[in-house]
Amino acid sequence: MKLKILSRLVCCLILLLVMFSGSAFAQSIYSRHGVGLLRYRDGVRSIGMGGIGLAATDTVYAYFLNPATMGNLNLTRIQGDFLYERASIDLPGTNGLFHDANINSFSLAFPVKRGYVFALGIQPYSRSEFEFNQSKGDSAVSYVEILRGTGGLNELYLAFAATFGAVRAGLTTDFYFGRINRVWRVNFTSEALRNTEDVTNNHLTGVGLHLGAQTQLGKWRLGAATGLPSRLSVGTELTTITGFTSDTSESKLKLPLWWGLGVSYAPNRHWLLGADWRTQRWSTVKPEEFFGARGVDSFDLGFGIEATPSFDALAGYFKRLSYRVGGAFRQLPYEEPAGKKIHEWTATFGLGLPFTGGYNRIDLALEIGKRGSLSSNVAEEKIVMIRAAIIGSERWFQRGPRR
Amino acid sequence: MHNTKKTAVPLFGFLLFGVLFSLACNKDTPISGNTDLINRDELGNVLQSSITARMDSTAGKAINTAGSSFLFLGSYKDVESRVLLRFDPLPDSGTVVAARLRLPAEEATGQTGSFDATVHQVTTPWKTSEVVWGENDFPVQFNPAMDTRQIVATVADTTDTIAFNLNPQVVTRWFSSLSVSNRDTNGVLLQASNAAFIKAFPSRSNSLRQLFLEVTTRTRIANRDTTITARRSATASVFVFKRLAPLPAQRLHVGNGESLQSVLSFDLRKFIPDTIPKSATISRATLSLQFDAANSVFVDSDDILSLTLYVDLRKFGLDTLKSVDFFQAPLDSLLFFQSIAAGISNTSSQFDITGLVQRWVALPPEERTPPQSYGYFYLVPDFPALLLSRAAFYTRENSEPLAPKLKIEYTTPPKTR
Repeated sequence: MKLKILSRLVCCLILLLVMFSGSAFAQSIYSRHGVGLLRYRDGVRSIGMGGIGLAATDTVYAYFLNPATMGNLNLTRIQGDFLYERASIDLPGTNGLFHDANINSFSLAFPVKRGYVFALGIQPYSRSEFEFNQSKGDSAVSYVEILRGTGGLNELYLAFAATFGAVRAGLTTDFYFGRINRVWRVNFTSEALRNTEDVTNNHLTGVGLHLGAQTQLGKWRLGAATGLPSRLSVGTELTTITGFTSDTSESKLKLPLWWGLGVSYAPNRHWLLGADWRTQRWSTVKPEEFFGARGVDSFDLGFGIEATPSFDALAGYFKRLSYRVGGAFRQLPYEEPAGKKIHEWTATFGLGLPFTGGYNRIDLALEIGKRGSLSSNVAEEKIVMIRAAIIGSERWFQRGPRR
Repeated sequence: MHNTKKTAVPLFGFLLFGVLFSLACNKDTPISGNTDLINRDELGNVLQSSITARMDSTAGKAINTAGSSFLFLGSYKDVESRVLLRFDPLPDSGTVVAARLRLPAEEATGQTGSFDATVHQVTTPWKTSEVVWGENDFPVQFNPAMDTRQIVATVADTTDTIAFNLNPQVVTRWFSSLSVSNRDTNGVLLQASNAAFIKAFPSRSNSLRQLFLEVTTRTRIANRDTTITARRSATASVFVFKRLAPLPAQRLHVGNGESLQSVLSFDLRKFIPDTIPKSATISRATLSLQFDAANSVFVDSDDILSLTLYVDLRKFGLDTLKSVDFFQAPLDSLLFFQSIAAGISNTSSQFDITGLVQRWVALPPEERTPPQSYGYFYLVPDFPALLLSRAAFYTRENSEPLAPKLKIEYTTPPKTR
């Protein structure tokens, strides 16, 4: 029975991934710098609680940022999540509204022995999506100039978590890949002139490592994780509408060290409170290794609460749901204008819906917030993000109980 | 929890996904008017450059006009044209008592008024498909005039016909029994004196109207003198012309009577790729020639001279420009057409050569064979044998607005990644 459920989930997720793999993410003015907006975060449950995950382990969820948290899993887990994003962008004198939806991530974790878990998955590291246009020219030649940025950096990861007494440790190898494109178009008003479309493709590949540890002290859990710096190879080529393709030029993109600390408190099975702090040293990256952007240190501060009224299978369905609330405050790795930091805050809400037994879940998370400020930055973006994840479970590689 | 409720949870989940996907399909409202937020290097440049011809030249030669539908008689500007006609031997049928050459009148080009046209007996043979006048002496010898008629510029109606009286003794020599050895001289020459315009007549190739020879003979039939009049069409007709003065200086000429062709060259060796890089997109490239109506010749007011611009990338370079034999030159398949209409206004003639310049930009200098041939154009008339028109364009020696120019509008890609 469970095998059938898991197979169906896998098929649905692959189908959705194929159907929507070409979709874009909502635009952000601020994603035009560097590698775009950073998107490496934990799963939907974590986001419902303000993004906490470094110390929030349990037997159902596999967290990405701190691989040590996976050591508590006792069943094979497959999960995929979906993201809907809406951004309303205000600039002085103009505004824009964007919607987008896409499959966001996919992961598979399976315990090989109690306390030892392998995991693999794919998820975004960053996203760049923006478009500007402006009418230019004179009475002789007039045209609309458009600059569009798309793409982002993804990572395919292989993780291993092990338990040593009260301490869990985890190590993840990150295989980075992605493409960041810039498309510059010139659409002339007159049909007598040939339009221009110059596409600059940046292909990114590289390997990185991140690791973490977690321990439990009574009702408190502590977690720490760090990602080591890595240099990605960037191959850049230019393609024009006339068929011209440049030679590929090679360069490097540096992903700097990040580290984070988390703490959670679970007074009983029904309540969980937690907070995370994570920072990344983008100020150490030279502009030539950051697509010309001048980076500043970014940080994520999150806190959240989860309440599950009942774990009794005979209890009413709404009593078995998990209710989450939280908040997050972030600083983006770019300045705009120079010297003015860009901040983002979100209020988060989440639900965990069990189905076909307590180990299969649909999780929902809603983030509402603001990115940037018209008083100190070039734009203010009101953002709404809705995430949904499907989590299925099954026993693999483990012997069943003796009959 | 009942099974139906358990199934409902994922179904509601998928329903939610569907709603959100449909929301995402809503039309976005993009951000406009804000490319100033972008680093200038992230945008490309919209540019234009103009280059003046480095060398240009005209050459041409008078060509045979046997295929023309019209015959031109008279003088206009610096061109004088004469008409040669030939007839098949006449059947031996009595004594020629009268002979008339009847020419249906067509349009005139030039000033109004009149000129005297004379008709002469041709005394030396000429070949229809070869005879030309050009810069040589007149190619055919002829006797003094047999008749003179006044030709007026205006045409009263389409039935207007000019009739020349021919000497019966001359026509008698065209009888078949007498013209066995000299049938190539069975014809006449028409020439004009003091002409200030050119009059057109239909040739034997004209499918609408025909000139003809009307011969009246007297013969004895049943012991009675009988007069018979018969019409004979010409078996050959050409007009031969000569330019009486050198072509106006500092002009490029393209003509379809004298087969004038021009060559012009732009030195693109440094222009491409130094100014216009290989990665550029050519938005529009035009070869601009300034038309000089005063030094152009059109045989009638409705005349349209079709020009063809050829490009040869293989054979010639700047160094060989002046020694090129235009008529032997193999032409490349890249053609650009343009029509020049008769008129007095000096217009600019634009050839759209966007695709050609894009091809030049795309080809690296080391692959250009020979490299100096880039920017090299032939300007050739269409239907070179049929009419007597000639278009003049200003050469590079003239002031900048008048000189031939290659104007290129292009974009260069952004500098940054």
